[in-house]
Amino acid sequence: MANNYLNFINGKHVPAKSGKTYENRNPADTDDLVGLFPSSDASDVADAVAAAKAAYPKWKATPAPARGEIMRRATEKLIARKEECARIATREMGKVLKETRGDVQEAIDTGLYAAGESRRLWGTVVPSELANKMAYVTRQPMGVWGMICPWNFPMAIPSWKLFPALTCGNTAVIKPATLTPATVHEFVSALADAGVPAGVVNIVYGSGAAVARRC
Amino acid sequence: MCGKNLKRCSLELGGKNAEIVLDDADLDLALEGVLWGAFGTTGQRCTATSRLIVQAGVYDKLVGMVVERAKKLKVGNGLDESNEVGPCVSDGQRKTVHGYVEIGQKEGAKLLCGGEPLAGGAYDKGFFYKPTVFGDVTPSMRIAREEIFGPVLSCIRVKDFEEAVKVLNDTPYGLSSSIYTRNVNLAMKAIETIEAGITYVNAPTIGAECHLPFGGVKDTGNGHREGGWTAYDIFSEPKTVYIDYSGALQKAQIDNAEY
Repeated sequence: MANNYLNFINGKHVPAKSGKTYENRNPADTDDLVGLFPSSDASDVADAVAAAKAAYPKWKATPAPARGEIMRRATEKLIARKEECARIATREMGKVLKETRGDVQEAIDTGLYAAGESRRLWGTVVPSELANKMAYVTRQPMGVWGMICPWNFPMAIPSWKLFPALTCGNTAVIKPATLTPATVHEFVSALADAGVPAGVVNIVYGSGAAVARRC
Repeated sequence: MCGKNLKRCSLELGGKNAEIVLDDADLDLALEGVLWGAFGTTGQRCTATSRLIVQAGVYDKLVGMVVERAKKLKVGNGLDESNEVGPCVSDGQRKTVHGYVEIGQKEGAKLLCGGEPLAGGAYDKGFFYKPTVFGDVTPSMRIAREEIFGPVLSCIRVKDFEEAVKVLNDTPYGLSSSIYTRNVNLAMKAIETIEAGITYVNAPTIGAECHLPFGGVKDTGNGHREGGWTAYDIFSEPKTVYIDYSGALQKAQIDNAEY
């Protein structure tokens, strides 16, 4: 029984504009169809980038510890769903359950680190040469990050990128590995359920080549 | 694309990671390390152990131990918890792996075990490959230089510590590395002289912790480190702020200096 997955843009689930989909099958048992995923192209990416751009000012203005609290809540979701996520990752990537449980745990640990780091995004204050003058350095996020992830750590590697990026105040468009999209769906669902606002993180599924033709 | 638009770009890229084992190493420990490093995740980690560099005094013994255990690894569907190694991620990837095995044989490496897909029964529905070990590999062979990304290990014999490090460094990649030895001085020299973003002592090349910097040198990566505190430097940029509360125009030295 296949699941129909959709792109996640601006908080909404939408099909690829072309309407095309591709099959994601279990490499240990190709009879096992994990799901159908959108075959997106550059125009879908454009929508996702626009959503991420629009969501950026408000997310940037959210105090970092508040962003960190959302990351922490997302890890609670992952902890609750760890076994389910591990099974999905094993079904689409192939590595054994012991390893996919470890993969999800790595995402959890990365999220807990991010939550703490949100209160330690230190800048630096140094003395000015001049009297009555203050000189210091503060951190700023950069804007929209595009992320293209590999398939061998289907949740851990996306978490390495998304947790720090979002905690710093950036927004994101992620193109999951063509072979392991379902695990990213699980991960971003945890973020959304934890309260990440619409447009802050967006998913565009499809092949790297098709999606990249936006330049 | 990022370069053209002057946008920050963070790249991971690949590895050809090696485990060095010296004559004085705990061989059982080195064995567990290389089995996990080479065949865990079916060898599909950027940090996977794809080269085993062994000092001559223990080469035959250790390689024999590796082959005996590699043959016994339980390969199958990852949902069955009695299995230790899953399939290759795709048919294309398995073809790539087998292509390299054929190259290795043509180059004159000695195929000690594996070297072909697993077939029959449930194996026919998936992309399974036998854990494969090559012996008598030389550093110039393609299987010693190119990333295979599958369950294929190349064993290289060296005469001493210096040659071991030289062979380990003889690659355009530089992600992970490990050395098994009981000699603390050699371990310290290895840490200093191995060209890699990550070095393990008496542990395998895989298994990084999420809160430490992760990344490679040379052709692996573009200088950035993911994981830990360094990830936050990638995803933010500094803004320098000067607040002048003197009520006057003050000039810092560069505008005042008389030379």
